[in-house]
Amino acid sequence: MTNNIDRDPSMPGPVARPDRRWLRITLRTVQFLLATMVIVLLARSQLDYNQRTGPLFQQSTLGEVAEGHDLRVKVSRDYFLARTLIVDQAPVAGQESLSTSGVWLVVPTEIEALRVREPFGALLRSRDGHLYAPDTNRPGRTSTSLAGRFGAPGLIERGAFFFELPPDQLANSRLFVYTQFDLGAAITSVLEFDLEIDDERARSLTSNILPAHVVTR
Amino acid sequence: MTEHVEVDQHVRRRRWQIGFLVVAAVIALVALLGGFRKTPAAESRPLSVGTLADNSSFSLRPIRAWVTATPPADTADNGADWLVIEAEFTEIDGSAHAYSNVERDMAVKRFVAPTNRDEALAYQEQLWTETNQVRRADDGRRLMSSPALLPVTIHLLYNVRRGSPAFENVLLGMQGRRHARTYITGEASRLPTGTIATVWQLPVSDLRGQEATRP
Repeated sequence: MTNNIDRDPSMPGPVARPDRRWLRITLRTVQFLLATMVIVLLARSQLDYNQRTGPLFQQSTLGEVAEGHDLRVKVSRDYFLARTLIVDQAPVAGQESLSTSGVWLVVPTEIEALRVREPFGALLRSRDGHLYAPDTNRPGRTSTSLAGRFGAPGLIERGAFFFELPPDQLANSRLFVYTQFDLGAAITSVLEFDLEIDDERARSLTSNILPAHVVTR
Repeated sequence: MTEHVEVDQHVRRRRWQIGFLVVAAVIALVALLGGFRKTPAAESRPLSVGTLADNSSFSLRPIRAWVTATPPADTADNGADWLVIEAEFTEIDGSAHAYSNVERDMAVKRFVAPTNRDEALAYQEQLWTETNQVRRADDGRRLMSSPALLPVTIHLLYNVRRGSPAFENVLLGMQGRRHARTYITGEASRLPTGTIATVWQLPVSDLRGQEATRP
């Protein structure tokens, strides 16, 4: 200690090595930031959960046979609207009428499972993004309703999907057909149909609503 | 010059002290007058019959309420009477077609008019009764899901102890929901807040003795 104080400041001291400590720290920080950026970019460029696990959507046309991975579907162009559904359960019970404050959209469909016995499902998406699913209780499994019905491979099921919805949600709506109860389940492919309802078609549809449509057992 | 600065600082310190004293006095006064006591919030002013309200998942407009001894269709008599609340129900959240939140979000409790604040506070502690069933009014089917933006008349059903004395008023509560994204999938959904956000007060007609005139 005393040596230091006594030392003559005019005399050259021990050789001063250039201090590279701060340069090293800066370089390491830049390296670290770059690595973090790369990791974040890689993580962000991954497909999101729905894209990785969700089904493949296949664009299909009305009136033509569309084939997906596990189902074959022909959706009729002759869909129509009805105010009331009358379910005729003649041998078992009487008639029951199902009213709605909106309309019933009846979409006649032929459908066939290709791989395993699975229930059929359908979903309608309106222009506003609202999802409408056919209620498996209304009109129910005993009728010609295809929603929730199990189809065996090789057997063509003929029936219809019944959607209860407000009439103003019809325009530009799209139909999705698949084999599962729910779109959230593991589905391999979904057949997507444009129902081809522009504003004019929506008007003509809503001006020709059947007062009642009889659904037989 | 220096003396002047010192005096100035002294005066300023004095002012702060007086200010603090005034604030403390005001707080004490408010506390003495009971201003900081907890008051019954939403429940103190319930909505009336026919008022529309929503929790961003669905909207509801109660129409009328009655108590009956007859159990709903295809339900066995479980030894209880039934409180039925008829309401106009509309699903708002059309982003999911799965089960409706209405059965989970609605609850009732008996309404007894409190005469003072303590009674009101004690009354707030009373538990809500959860919904037993939700059915469509037109065909009596259980309502699992409902099409978006389509008004449906429903019956909310609650068990009431058999032979319990008639009550004139009931409170119908609706749980609040907040919009949030789920952690794993990043999907947006309306999560329950866990508290009753909206309350209606409904008159109840007792039809247990006169089932023939059921509305």
